[in-house]
Amino acid sequence: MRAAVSRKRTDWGGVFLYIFLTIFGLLMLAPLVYMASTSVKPISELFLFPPRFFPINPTLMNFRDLLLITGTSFVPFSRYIFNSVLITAGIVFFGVVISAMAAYPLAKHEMPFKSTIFNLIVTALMFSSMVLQIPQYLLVSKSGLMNTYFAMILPYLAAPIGIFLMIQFLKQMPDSLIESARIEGASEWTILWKIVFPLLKPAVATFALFSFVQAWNDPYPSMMYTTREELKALPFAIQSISGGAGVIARVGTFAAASFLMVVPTIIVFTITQRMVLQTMAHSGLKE
Amino acid sequence: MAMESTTTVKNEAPIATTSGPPLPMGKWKKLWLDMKRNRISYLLLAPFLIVFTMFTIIPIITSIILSFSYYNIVEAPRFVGLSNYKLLFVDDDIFLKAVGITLKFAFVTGPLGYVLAFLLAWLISQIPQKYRFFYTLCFYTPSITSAVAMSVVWLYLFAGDRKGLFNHYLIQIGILKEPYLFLQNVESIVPVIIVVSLWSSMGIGFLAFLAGLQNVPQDLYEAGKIDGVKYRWQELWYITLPSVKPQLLFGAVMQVVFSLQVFDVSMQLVGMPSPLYAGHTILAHLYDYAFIRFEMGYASAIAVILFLMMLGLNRLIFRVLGRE
Amino acid sequence: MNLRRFLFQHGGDLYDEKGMVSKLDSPEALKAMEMWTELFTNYKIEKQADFYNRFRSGEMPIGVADYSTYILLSTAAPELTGWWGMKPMPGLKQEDGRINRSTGGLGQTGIIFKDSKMKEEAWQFLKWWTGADAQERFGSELEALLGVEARWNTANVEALNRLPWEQKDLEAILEQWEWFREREVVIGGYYTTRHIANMWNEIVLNGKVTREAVEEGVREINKELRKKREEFGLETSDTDRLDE
Repeated sequence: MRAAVSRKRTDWGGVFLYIFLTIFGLLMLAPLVYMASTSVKPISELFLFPPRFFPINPTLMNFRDLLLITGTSFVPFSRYIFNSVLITAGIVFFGVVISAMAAYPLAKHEMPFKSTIFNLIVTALMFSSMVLQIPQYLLVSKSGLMNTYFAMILPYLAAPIGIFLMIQFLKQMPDSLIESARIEGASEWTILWKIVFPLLKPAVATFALFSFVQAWNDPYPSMMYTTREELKALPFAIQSISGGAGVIARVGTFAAASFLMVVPTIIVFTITQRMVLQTMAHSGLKE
Repeated sequence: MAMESTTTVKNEAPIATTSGPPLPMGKWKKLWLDMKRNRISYLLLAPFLIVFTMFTIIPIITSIILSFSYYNIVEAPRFVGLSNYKLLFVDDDIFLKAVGITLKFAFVTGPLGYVLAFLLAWLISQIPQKYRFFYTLCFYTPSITSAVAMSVVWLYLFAGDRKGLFNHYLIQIGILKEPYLFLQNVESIVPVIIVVSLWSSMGIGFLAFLAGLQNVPQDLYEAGKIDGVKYRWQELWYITLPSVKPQLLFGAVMQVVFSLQVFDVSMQLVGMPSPLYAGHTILAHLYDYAFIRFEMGYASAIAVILFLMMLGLNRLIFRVLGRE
Repeated sequence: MNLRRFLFQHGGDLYDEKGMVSKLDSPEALKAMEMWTELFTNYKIEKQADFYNRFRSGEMPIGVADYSTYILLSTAAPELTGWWGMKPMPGLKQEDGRINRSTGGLGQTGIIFKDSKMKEEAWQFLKWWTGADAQERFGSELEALLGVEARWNTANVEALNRLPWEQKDLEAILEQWEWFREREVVIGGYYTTRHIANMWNEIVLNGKVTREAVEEGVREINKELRKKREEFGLETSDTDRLDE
């Protein structure tokens, strides 16, 4: 009986809820849709103002231009894609490994300086990264790492926000599992990989998502740490397409490139979404 | 019952390796032994700590040192003591203006974005599982797209042209007679940036809330119903909120950090610097000094101050939300 | 939003001869400033209007715009081909009857660092790159690859002549070239653009009196110019010492 009453009330509120959320949701998506539609517009429609949301004569010409023509300058466009994939994969993979290795002791072990280190990490989150660029650049160039893939991967492996996430998640995990493994004589190393890591999967997924999005969209490594064209990655390549004297020539291509850049992030998000939501439940701060 | 190895050490008598009085010597020695005992922990930490120190801690320290110098990037830095800081507070009107603007942003986008993100997450969590994904995607995607790409849309919305979206409709309805320059008029610049950054702020905080809300055990709600809770908002206040307190705290911290660093968006929309510095946040001021005027020492001082502000605000948040 | 053409056409200057002090408060500059802002306040010209679209629709049959608009119209307005043309900048008639069409332009610069170990090679490279042959080759290859959208507006007049411009357009460009004035870049000069925009904003949007806005802006510009010059140990002027 009570259920019947609440269902009636839910219906009324529910309908309103759906309407509101759907409208709002579509509004939020609108700019993305706009970007997608711009990338298939022929040049005669690109500059209309007010702009049209849906092109009248959609064309794939922008994409063709992107892949074929812009590539003949120094290196084929596919090289940029390759670099981006390599660098992003490197950052995500090694980032996960290193952060997991570090999160485990910080969450589960007792040791001197533990809270100092932890506080240091949280504090580092708050220093503006813009200012750090110059010292970071100096470090990389003085250490001879310029123009290597290392230079573009290494600095981003120890992200404070990533490890922070993992530590919080790990803290929720019951100690009993680890204790029983210790009693059975397993080494810490084994414990980490056989027990902790599988349970850490949701946090890993979240970390991977954020890390991926960050690394994929970041033009700074290419700008600061490389001077040779063969090493540069997508976001940088796209910036160079859109700037410079030939501004008009490439607006369509720029839209196509931007759209291409967003697609992988959405794919990754979809894949990790379920696991991400699970992690988030445990990411709250406990004092 | 946990068998922590360190606790046994603490309970024992002072280490018998030294023959003399155990006090100061004992403490250091104990520390060293502690560390050796936990060497696996340190080993595991090592790769992360090394990279972290090299690429984050050292640059931070360098920046702090630079804030006491004059450094134009092209020549070597020159020590100038506290003069950067003195100038900042005594002579730099624009900085003070920037602080005001940034705080205005922070206090509006901070709480508003926070409440908005929470409300949205709460609304979504009321929907059956299978539809949630679509809505989550809608609301999360804005924050993972590049600011540059989105600015095209915003520019259209707020264009000072008669045909800009807002102007067009406002003129049609009759509220305006001639187009209003949203992006140039000093009064409208701050509200515009607030709106835009609210839109893109549905990031980590939003996801945290969503997941936290989804994981509130159902029995709490059942129990609540039995106890007489009838309306949704009662549910929200008495059951939901307390259960997601950790997420609320996390979201608040993230929001503070984010709202004090509004910059990319504002640069795209209103230019750098904004007309009459109306949209000039602290970060914009930093950028100005670092990359336009090549005064890196001064910029580092600004960064240090921003950093201290963030630390302070976070401490406040902990105090307000933490001990409730 | 370009003050420069008004400024130059009135005979004004951005800075004094040594580039130490802003000359935006000179009587000529003030007159230029007034003329420019009055277009918006008195004559109610649209403060912002997308010219390209209005040209296409016929709403605005004439406009003053830069190179990218030319390209835009040539490539993205196919229905207008042959129906429009480019002419030199409108100007002020002077006492000798000629029309002063001065305006600034877009410029790029090459630099060789003093400490460089390859100064001679750098110089050879720059000489080659800015020479007519290289410029012409670059421009024609670019256009062959990417079409009219990518037409290269080289600064080398000879190369310009050789590139596939339409005759009428070419004539217009060459005539305007006579009146081209280099925009001086001085140390601390980034402040000038900034404050010109601020001045415009104050006068047009906030209703400030022109003279007041200009004087405020000039004061700020001079402060920054002086500061930068002192920073690098350059000579500074005595006349702007009205600093409070």
